[in-house]
Amino acid sequence: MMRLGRTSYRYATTAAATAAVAALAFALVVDASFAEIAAGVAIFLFGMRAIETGFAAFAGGALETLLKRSTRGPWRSIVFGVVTTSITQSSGLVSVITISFLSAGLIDLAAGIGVVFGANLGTTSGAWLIAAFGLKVDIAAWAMPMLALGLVLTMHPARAAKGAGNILAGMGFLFLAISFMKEGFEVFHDGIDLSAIDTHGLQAVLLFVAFGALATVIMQSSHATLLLILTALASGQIGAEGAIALAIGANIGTTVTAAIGSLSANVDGKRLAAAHLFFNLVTGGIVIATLGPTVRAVAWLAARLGLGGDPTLELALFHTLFNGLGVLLLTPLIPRMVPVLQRLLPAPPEPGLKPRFLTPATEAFPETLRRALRQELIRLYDNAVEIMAHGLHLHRHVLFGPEPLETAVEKQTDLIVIDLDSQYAERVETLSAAILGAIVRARKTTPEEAELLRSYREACLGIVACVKETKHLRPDLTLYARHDNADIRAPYNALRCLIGNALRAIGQLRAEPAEHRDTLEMEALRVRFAQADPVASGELDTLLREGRITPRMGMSLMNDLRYTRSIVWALGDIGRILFGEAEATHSAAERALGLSDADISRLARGPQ
Amino acid sequence: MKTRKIIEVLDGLLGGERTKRTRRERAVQDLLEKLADKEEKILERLAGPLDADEIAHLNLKLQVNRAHQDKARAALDSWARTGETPPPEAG
Repeated sequence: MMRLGRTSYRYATTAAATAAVAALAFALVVDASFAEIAAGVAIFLFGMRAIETGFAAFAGGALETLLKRSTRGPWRSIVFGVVTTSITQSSGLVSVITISFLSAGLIDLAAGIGVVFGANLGTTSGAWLIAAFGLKVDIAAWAMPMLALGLVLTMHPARAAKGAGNILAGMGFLFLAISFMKEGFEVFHDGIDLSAIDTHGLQAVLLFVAFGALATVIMQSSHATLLLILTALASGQIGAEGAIALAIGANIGTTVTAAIGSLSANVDGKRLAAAHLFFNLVTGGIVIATLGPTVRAVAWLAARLGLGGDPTLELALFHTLFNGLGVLLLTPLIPRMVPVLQRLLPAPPEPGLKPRFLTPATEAFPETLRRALRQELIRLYDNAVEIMAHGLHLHRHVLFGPEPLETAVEKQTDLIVIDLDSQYAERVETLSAAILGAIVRARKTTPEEAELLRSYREACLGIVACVKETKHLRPDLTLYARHDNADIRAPYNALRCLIGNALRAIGQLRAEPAEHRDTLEMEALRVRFAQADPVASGELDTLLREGRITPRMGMSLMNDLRYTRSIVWALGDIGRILFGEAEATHSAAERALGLSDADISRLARGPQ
Repeated sequence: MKTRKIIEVLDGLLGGERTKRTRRERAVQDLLEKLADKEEKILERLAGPLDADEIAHLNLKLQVNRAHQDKARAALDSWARTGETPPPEAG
């Protein structure tokens, strides 16, 4: 039933995903402006990833030092935000970059909030520029040279140049994305007529706020909205109150840019986007509640500063005061905001296989800890076996079936598709880290206990190494296991058999009653490896000399033999530790009788 | 037998080498017996009808088993001669 339920769920999710993709494809085909907006969103998210990758390349270097210095304490972070936004003229971009700093772990959340608050203040410089000079920077014009230069830099071998290239290309993508979105929404821009809206009463003010936010979301730029507001204000379409409400809305609208940016960011990025929204909602709320006195106060201050008479400069002044007020009010609250945001937006559980037996309760007592560690190691091993088997293109029913592997491998015609990196991350990484953590934390009361824990650590690291080495082996195995040239196919299939037989031997060892288990027998696998080693036997030299395999094939085989040897040796130890003698003295005696390399070579040569 | 056990216990309480040595000696002895049993079983299987691969596989197991028995005997002999504990990581 459970199996059926899961299968139905899988079909339902696949069907839903297919339907969504089909609907998206249909919309992309029939509506050109939707296609442009969708392309804009996709390019935006792609740009975000490129910037994150770029900044990660600088982690630990000069950038980290500069960022750390510039964001030490909330006020420094604010100054950093003000300066960078004034230079780039985009608070959205600075928010997005700050989210990528956070995701890359270059700054902490409190510093990020400071930068975003500062960005809000810095963006008001744009209102001054528009109001004073009517200047509008066409950022899309910068996108192409940035992309071209960025791409060239990513091809550079130096890590810093690659990082700079990714950042540059990422920014180019962001600019390009904003331009795409603007073009896609041009129809909305053309249809806007502010004079048609009545500006009286709270309802109208809230409508203006919503309108300002919507326009900014649509155009992805508060500067564009401000330009619209200033034009309407200058032409007398709206009054000061309406313009202020629209400007508040524009500020709230910019948070959506950061929210889109936070979609592909980690949880800290989402917390930062939430802090950004909180800043604009609180500041906007205060100003809306005191709109009448605010308008009069701004007019009074503008007259004192010699700006009176120009409503656009008055609006620019309001914009600065509005954001300045928010910074002054909310900056002291940053240390309190951090824990609240962490509680409201908790970190998602780490992906991957979790420990089932290791808990604080089992870790409290040596006996339960030992038992739990062994059970977790066996779980880890079972997961690793499946990954390794599929990595070697061996189905488990073949691996643990009755047929000799040498015959089964030759018969098998299909190759198994598996992403070893994601399998490792999901099924090995988290669990192995938890096991090692518990071993490190454990109290070692006796030498025997210390020895047992040491052997468990060895098994854990061995399992991890086996999976990683299988990953290294897989590309050549995939290439040569079905190769037309039998002289390269045979040794590669022999490698698959060597590892497969080691896994099979451990399976047989587990199946035996504990008192009959002979872990020393596992050493026959090492002798078998030595017998099959074409380097030691000189067979590889012959194949190369006679031109039956290429030097490149020979080099691959030599490397892969090393991986195979390492896996076979590790599996021998893992089998002994997990399924052999648990009692310390007996276990030590087993180890004492282990075969040396010289013993193995002698046995491999056979009776003289 | 009782005296030996009492000495072992006292030695153990004092954290003595003697107990460790005796225990390990007994562990190696147990292992030797287990290996001899295993050898018998392999020989029995080799006496039955087998194909060439199975024979080669069992012969290898037999060689490895005998190598382990040799090592165990050598350890016990050396111990009896010198009175020293074989190092645990030997081999």
